Amino acid sequence: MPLRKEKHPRPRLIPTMMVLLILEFPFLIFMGLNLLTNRWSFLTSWTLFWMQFQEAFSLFLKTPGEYVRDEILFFDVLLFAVLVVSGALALMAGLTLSYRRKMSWILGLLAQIGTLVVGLSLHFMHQTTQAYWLMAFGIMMVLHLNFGDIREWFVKPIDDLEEVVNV
Amino acid sequence: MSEREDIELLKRFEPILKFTKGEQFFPYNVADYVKKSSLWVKAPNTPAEQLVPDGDLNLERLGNMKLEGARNVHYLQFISPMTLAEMAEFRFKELREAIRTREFTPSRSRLARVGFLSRLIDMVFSLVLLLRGRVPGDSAAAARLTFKKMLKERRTFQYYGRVVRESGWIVLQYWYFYPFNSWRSGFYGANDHEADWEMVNIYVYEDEHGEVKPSWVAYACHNFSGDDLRRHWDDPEVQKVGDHPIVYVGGGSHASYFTGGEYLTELVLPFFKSFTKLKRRMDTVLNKIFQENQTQEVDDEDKPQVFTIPFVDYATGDGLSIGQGCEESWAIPILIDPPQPWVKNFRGLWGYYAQDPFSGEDAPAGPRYNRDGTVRLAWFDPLGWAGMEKVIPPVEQSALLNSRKTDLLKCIEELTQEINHLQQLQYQRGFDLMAIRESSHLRGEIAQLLQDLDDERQLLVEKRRRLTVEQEKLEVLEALKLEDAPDQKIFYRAHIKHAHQPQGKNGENLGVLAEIWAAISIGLMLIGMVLLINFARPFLVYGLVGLLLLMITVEAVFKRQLANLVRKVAIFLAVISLAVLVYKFFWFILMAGAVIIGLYLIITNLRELFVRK
Repeated sequence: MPLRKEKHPRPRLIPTMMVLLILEFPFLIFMGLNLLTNRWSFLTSWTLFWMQFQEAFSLFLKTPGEYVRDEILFFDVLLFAVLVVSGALALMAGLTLSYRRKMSWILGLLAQIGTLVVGLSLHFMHQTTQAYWLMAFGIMMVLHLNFGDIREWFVKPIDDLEEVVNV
Repeated sequence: MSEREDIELLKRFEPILKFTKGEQFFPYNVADYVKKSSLWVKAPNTPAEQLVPDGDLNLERLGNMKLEGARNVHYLQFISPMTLAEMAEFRFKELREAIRTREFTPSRSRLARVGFLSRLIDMVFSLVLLLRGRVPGDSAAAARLTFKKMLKERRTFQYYGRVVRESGWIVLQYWYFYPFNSWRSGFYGANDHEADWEMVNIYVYEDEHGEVKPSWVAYACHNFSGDDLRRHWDDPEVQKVGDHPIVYVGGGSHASYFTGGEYLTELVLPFFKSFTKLKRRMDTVLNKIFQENQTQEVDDEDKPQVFTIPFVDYATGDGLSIGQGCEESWAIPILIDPPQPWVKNFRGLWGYYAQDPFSGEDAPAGPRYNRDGTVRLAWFDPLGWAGMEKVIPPVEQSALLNSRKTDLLKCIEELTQEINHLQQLQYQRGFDLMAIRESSHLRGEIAQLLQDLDDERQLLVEKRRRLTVEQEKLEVLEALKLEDAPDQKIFYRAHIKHAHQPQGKNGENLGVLAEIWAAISIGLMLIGMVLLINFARPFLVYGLVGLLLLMITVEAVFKRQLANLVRKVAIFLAVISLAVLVYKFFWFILMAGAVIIGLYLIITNLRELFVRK
């Protein structure tokens, strides 16, 4: 039966990266929700959280771009949106990572760009604790996605496989 | 050797010149050119003055004129300005002709072949060209018209030859004179200028039977010199018809190439060299951060230039061909060595002096001289011009090889004797030291012996190292076959550092969109900046950053570098974030690090302790 023998075997870190990227989705959503209410209330009471969430949006709609309770709501909503998109990208990357598609790797990196941009923006605007968690997580993921063997596994073209061999 | 023999030798190896479709100027005789030219002088801070009007000048008069004034520039002027009516008529005819024959169409935009920075510099260069001295716009048209008439009157294609015998080599130097260089106006190149001297060197030698054999060829290409210009006669890159090498001539520029194709020539402006160095240093640091694979050190010369202006030399060879078996053939060559008076005495420029500070639009001087009146390297040192000074003629290689082997053997013998002598000395001193080591009254002698032993050991190590190197050199020389051996062909290209290669076809499928983008990107950026300044001044910084990011992203998409860009942006942001974290939590990170190291040490030491028990 003909078999294709790969020159570059799948790096051992790939399954770990898949799990981390999939987990990044809830992590970013979690951070984004907290960004809008800033009280971690969704951990204790969903009812309270929902009220605060609605309040945040209505405040944004009423006074877009203005300072409310020392927050720039417009930017918070914008950063929330970035986190949601980054989370979705991370989820897609995580689910497709094992297929060795270059696009999965790019999506993973794009998710980290979103995460780090939000982290840095929050640092320069509010200096909230979650900014540093986002940064630390982003740095760790960028580091892992850029490990030599992981990068080469994605960047080397698929046709860089050895000739078909018969066994 | 007689003049007739030299001419026969030149004819035997005369190159075949293949021109690009659309080329208007071909190697021609200088006598007719000079007859149609006027002679001018330009002194500093005064207007140019005509010394001899056109029609009154000939080669003999040019060669015997006393041209005075060290700071004066003497120059010929081939073209008189056209009237508006003449110009319009010519342009109309030219357009009709171009549509009919489809003479020259570049396969791909030159700007699409290079990066964003180069395009930006190209824009500055184009603007500067309007300000600095340049050949007037109608010159190329007028030159074309005049040269067409000249060809109609006498359709001959001429080259000038030199046969230089030096250090065992016979250098056949072929000089080609073109009335005009129309690279800018005809082929979207860097410059236009009246008159163009180009050259091809063929290095031959006489074998032991007195038969002349070709060995190397070197083609002049812009202002380059050295090893890279040279190819071995048997190198597959050198295309030949019989004993006639084929030269692909760049459209308008008349630079010579071994292979037909489109060559990207990047003009490096001296002003930007310091910026390039700075950029390279930044790249080195970034590459370390980005974990780029850099397995070998690269010379500064080998690294791609950053701030360059792109030009394409179209040397496709699909136009007229001159030479053996071609549609046109060469006239009897004219020897210019010993130099005729016009070669030796006229140090001025052979065409219009545009007073261009970069000299690109000024005509060149004759075959013997540079623009500043000094003698050309290619004239006084035709071997050194192509890096041939270190290449021994094949006929002398065998003798040199034997002589080198004898020298090395002698050197090895001497070194062996010296090593044996030093070894004996070491034995003696070692023996003495063993004998007197316990004698306390000989402490001084013991110290001296130890010092001598140490010094001689160093010397012995050095001699043994030298001996090993010389033995290895001898082994290599003994295994070396002479140049004619077929398996030695790999050495034919060992001297080439930067081989000029035509651009591959793979970049040509970038598509029309990429070419349009390359053409409009810089203009769009400038318009975007103006709009931002006018309509969104409070957000100027954000706007400029956004605009630049947008430009870079679109550029990366067209260049298929999106993955690389995303990766670099991610790493850049990670580095910034890391710096923020370190700044914010410096003491915490320091303490956490100390605790982790402490724990690691405890675990390692305890593990060692328990494993031992």
